[in-house]
Amino acid sequence: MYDPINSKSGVQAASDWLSGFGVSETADGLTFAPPGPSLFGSAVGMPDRLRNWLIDLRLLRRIPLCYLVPDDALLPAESIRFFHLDPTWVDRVIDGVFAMASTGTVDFAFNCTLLAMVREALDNDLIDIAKQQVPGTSWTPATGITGVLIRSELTRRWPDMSVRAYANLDPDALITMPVLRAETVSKDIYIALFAGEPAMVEIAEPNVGIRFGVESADPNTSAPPYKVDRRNPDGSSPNTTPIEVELWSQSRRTLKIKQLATDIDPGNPSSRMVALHLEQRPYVQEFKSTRPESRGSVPLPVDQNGDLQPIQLSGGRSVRLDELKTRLLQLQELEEGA
Amino acid sequence: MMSDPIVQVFSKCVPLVAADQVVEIEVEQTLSADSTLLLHAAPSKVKVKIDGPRLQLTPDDVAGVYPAPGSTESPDEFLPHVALSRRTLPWERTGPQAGAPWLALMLFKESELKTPEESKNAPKSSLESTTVQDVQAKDPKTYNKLTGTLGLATSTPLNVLYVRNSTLQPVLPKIDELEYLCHMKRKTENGVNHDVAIVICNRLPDAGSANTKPEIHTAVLVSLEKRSELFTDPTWFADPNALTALVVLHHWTFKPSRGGDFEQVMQAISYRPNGGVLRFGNLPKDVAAGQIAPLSGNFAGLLDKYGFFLDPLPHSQPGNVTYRGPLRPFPTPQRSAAFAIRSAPEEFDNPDPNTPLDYSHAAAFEIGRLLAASDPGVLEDIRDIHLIHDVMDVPAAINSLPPALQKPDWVSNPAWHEEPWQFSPTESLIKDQSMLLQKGVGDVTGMDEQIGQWGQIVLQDLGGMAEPAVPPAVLIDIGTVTDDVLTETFGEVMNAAMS
Repeated sequence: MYDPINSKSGVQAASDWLSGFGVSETADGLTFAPPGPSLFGSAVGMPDRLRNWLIDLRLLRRIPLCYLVPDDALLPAESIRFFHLDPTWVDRVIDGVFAMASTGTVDFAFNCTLLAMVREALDNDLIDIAKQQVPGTSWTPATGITGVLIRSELTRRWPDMSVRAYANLDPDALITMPVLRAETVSKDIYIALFAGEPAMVEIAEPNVGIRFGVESADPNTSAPPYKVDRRNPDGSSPNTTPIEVELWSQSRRTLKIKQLATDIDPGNPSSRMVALHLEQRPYVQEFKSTRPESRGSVPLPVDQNGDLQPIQLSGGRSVRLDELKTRLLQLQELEEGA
Repeated sequence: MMSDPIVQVFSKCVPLVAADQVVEIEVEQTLSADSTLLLHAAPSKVKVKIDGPRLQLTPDDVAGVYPAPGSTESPDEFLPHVALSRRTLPWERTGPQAGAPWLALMLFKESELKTPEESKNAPKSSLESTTVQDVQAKDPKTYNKLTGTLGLATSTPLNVLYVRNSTLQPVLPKIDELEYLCHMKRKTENGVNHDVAIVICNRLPDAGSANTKPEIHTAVLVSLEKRSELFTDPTWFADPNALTALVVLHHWTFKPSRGGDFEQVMQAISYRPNGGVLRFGNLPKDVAAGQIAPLSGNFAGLLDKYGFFLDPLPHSQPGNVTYRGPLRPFPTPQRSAAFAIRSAPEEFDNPDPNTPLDYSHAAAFEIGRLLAASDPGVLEDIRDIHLIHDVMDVPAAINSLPPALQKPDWVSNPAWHEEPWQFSPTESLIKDQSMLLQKGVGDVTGMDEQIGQWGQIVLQDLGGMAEPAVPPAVLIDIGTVTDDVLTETFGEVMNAAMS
């Protein structure tokens, strides 16, 4: 009845248009298309469920751990590993998602236009996530994402530990960096992703409220005698000699509380000062970029006789390395037997 | 702007009126309007008795405990404690001596509460829900105390823990220690005070030796209301096998951990054979003598600086195949701007034996495809993706008049309509309103034109018509009118009516 406006079929039109994209094949098993022009729109609309699902992929959720850590030796037991994230690898995952819905040439052509805007939309979403944490951040995905993996008893016993990242080391003017993701992946593996490359990372014991306790005064074991750090009435630590906490009975482990109160303040013993001195605050471990890498893994400190040397912690406490030494001997026996 | 919370610690928070104490309040009421007295109620006295928990606590009374009930991770260097929502509770009643709190938190191991045989029959609890009367059978001295000194009825229900004297006496806090085990903590946040009373246990948990499993520990908040005999009566604990009943207001169980606290576990990571704190790809051992560290820190490694395995992973694909995940030891190259639109496995056919086949991105692509395929919701949502078209700016120069009023031909002067600016320079565009009354102007009906065209003809035709002949009127006598007369007189009318 009417003369056709276009003599081409729909497939032909899509194919001709697609040819303008310069689709190419490379040596990695994929066919690529450069970013296409945004001919038909300025933005892409997608369901929120899909959007959140794709953001999860960008933050390495839903991706089996074996693809992130292909070898167990890359993340052994009781280890912490810092890494950089390859954004191109993650983009290929997103590309694969949309390729699943390509059933023909028309879908193909649509994807070439769509993928660029989807990528831009997801980038903007990540920027929003970063700004929710640190409103003044200027981070963009082009800056890069780094992260840390923890495989340790820490994750199993303290899954709610908190991770913070800072862009500088000045304790008086710390610049907070957004933490895009910080959660457990399995029973003993924890992952955190940072917006950028931090100069310092803090991993803090979860704040479960007040805790009261003592610390072992013997640097070699955790056995008594015990001691507590001195505290000022305002709760601050004067960094002076700790106070020894005596026991009525070592087998019953009952503390001499009144003795402690008198030792704290002989003239005016009080329960509030006892509470301040017994209070155990959450521990914060700092990882600084200025620290030599070689100190990240050191041999057990033993003397000439093979005896463990004490490892001093805060407040004169010690690390329980006796179990480590036993395990090391077992490993050496296994290697010799092999 | 929210401010940081302020925490204060107080040694005690003694109420103005103790529990069970009766106070008299004198009330006088006066009601007046302006200066007129409307009502005056004479002073009257009201007796008020202050009540408070005595034998058990409700869940609302307990703000929190440490370690958490059922916990297995608390180091054995941390003391149990209980936080109470009622900030004056430990000081509301009379303790074993004047000024001492009446509450104490005690800790018992399972082996201290049960014999090995009884433990086999677990999970029987050592705690008993009973009545005052039933206490008499096992601990008559405490029974006398409950009914006599405290005045409790024998039918009063309560929770009781029976402990052997040989176990209880060594772990019981000293009478002069009780006041140092209770304090009040205030947290002020945004101007609002949150107060809790805290009772600390005097005994550390015991995680045991390396060869034994930690025992279940039971923490019990006990009432020491007027129980001075426990501290001052030298004969009370004379029989080590006798049982002493403790009135328990709250209890929970946990297992201490021997695994060290957070700091100890964190610090131990750096010491071999633990994995260490390293760059991704490094191994927790020094590089072999004479070798160059593949990454950094003089450590042996599994990866090179690009993230590829130094020794490729075992694989079933033929050829020199390599794979690396998204985690790299060093910053990665600039993000690729291209998009993968399909997999091309044919690229891996007939490879150059000297060129490693990098499956990394192809694997990532397939991971995306498989993840999408495994979730029908994702495929469904992908179909709903659409482009959002640019919204046209709202035109700023649209004539807001309705179309009927936008008729450009209100005037029939073509020259004026098409080129109004070309009009004679002597003639103004602003016309006199009388021009609207001219023919064809201002008359949207067109009647004026019609009248002009046909009106004169109509007038001429009407004027040329002769007057119709009208016969004279005849008076008719109604009394003599018959049908015949009517038919004869109005014959034409009748015929017209009949037709």
